[in-house]
Amino acid sequence: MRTRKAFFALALGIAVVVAAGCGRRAQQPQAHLRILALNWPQAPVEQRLADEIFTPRTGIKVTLEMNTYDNVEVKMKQVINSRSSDYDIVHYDSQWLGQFVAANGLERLDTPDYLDSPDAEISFDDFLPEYAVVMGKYPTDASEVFAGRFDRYRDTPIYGLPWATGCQIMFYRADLLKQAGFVDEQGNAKPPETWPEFVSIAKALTKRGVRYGAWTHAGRQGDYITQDFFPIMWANGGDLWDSKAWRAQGVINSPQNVEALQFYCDWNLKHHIVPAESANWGNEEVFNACAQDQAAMGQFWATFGAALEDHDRSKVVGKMAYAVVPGFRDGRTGKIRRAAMYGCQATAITAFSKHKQAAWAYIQWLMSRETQKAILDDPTSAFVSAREDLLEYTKSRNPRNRAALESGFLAHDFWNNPEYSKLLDIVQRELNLAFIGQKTPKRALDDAARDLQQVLDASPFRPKGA
Amino acid sequence: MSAAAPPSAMQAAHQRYRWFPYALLLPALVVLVALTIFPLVFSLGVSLTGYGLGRAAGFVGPANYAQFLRDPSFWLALRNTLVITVFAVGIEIALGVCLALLFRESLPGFRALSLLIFIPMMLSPLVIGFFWKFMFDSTFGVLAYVTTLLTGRTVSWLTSPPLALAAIIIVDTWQWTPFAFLLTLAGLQTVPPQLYEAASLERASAWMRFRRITLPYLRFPLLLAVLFRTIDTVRIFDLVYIMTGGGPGDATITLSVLAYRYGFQFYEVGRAAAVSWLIVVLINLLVMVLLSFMGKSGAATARSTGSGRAR
Repeated sequence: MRTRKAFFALALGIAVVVAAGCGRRAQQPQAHLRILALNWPQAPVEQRLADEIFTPRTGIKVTLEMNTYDNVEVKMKQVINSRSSDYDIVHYDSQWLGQFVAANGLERLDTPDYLDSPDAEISFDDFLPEYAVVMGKYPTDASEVFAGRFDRYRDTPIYGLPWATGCQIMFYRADLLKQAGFVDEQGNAKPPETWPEFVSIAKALTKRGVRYGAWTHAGRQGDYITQDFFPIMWANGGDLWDSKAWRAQGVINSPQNVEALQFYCDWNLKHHIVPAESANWGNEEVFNACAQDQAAMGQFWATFGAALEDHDRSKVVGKMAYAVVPGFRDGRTGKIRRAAMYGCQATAITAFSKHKQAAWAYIQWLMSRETQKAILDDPTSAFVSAREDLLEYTKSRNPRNRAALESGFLAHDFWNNPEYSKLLDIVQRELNLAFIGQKTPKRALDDAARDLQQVLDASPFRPKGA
Repeated sequence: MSAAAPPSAMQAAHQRYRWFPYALLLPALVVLVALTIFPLVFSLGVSLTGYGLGRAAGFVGPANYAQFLRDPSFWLALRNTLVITVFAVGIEIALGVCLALLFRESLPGFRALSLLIFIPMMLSPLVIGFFWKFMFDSTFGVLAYVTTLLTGRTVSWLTSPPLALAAIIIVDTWQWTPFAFLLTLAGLQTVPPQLYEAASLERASAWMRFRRITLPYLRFPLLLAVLFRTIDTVRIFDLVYIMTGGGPGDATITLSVLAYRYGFQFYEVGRAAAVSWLIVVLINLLVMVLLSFMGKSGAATARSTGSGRAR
């Protein structure tokens, strides 16, 4: 009798535990999406909105793992090589796309499972092509896309949709320019229109006691010095390579580029308008120089502007203004030729995800007008939407967004082929050496051209006939 | 007792449990094979392939090694690694000995101060790299400010090739001198005080006391310090990566930074494994030299101290 009672009690206990477990399972989300995300200011806002809106609506839990820029690239390469399903979605930069696609690491989105599905709630055409094509399609030739020839890529495979949009823009201290007399007819601070004007304003500001009239990130690490020098190079009529012939020799070391590099190195070596230490600077140091009132103007990513308006982090709240980057005046036409460094990231589904449909549901929600507008409405997000139907709304949020979107029409980008990392490393090394005066601009670009060509010639990804 | 006598109970138990010591060793052996020997052998195999992002791991033989021997970046990285190792370890040992000799005198406040000296050794190299990078920066840094005051011109520590290398040596020295100090201090405790008393009676000079008494007792701890610091410094990565990223140009690139570049930036895993193996070979060569020196030195120490006199 006693044994039977004990047995009954035990069975009841097990039943209660199982029922409780089932109950909890019923409340558990259907899937847990893990996103390999960049630690841009919009990421925490995206996480908050996902927790508040997406998860309650769908039952799908979302975790954004926010990483530094370099870390995302390294981690994604590890994910691809180990065919890991650790991440369902990845935010990638446009230059990495070729490497990831060549290694079959991303899910193609122009298929009936995704964008071509009759139930798809978003379309590739919802986004500004200046941003979406280079970011999301592969293979593309950035120079053709930025020249507006989008139709050539109508049938090119799609791997990602625009997550973060932007270009390097001109940040300038309106108060300092005004005090120095650089004003327009209305008495507002007038930013430099051309690069020579930029130098003369910076020199004047330095003479007036501003510690440094300008800044630049000319560091060896990452892609810092290239992202500041390339817009000057493109504006001067030069180019990085011949993308059709896969040729760097004679292109990157062209006379225009040597002239442009000499002009850029003079900022440090001749005019001393930028700190000599900027040859070791990245975003962090440039931000500190701005925020600590040490330097007056330069190229920077629009995203960082939001933190400069934060009293806890910045001494220059309300003093910074924004414009498109300067250019060079064309001797024949008299027009100013400008070029802006493209800096956008896309979001994509990893090829090894075990929750591809949940990931697609999330991307559709994230890219919807409603969610993009909600991210824009949070001022801490420093967000610029690439949705065409939010273009005017995005511009109206703040002057940084306006400058960033206007720069989209001046944008140029790096190589996005699978050899990108090696090509970048060569150019970073040579530009950095020229900037500190260890090599003449001509020798640095000649050496870069020689080494770039070796990599391009030996590449297994070189197209036939190139 | 005849030769054919049965074994005792003790011997029988010994025979029966002959496997027992091996069983005790087994867990350690499994861990060693799984975590050290297998990865080492596997990476040797990888270094002979063209394994990379999205590429099949085809066998390429010694091509990765041959490519590095022709690559100027490799020789530059090797030179920088050896320069940093020789200067940093040399200065750390010299400063460590000086500090230990100073702190042996029990002056007031030295006990608390010696605790402070150990702090750099306990910090993460990443943290150290970040704050020294800012200290060396000519716009924000206190060190650059001081050098500018002293020299009258802006000193750009991290953007001048020779100064950038010197900056890395300074920071490594700052972090690891306490290690040499610790070992030297421990070595000093082993010197019998009677020897100094006898030397005083003999009117030996301070230098003679140091050379004939202190140094022989310190030889072994100092060689240990050199051994550990050499192994560690040849692998230097964190400080260089954070402070200069190998720049300006490639002026401060080291073998580990080169391996990182190939492994994680270019994702050419075969080549990264080849550099790593070259680092292993270099470390082993240096360790063999130091160990043979330690063997000779141990014998010399034994001769010059107590056991030597006894003979």
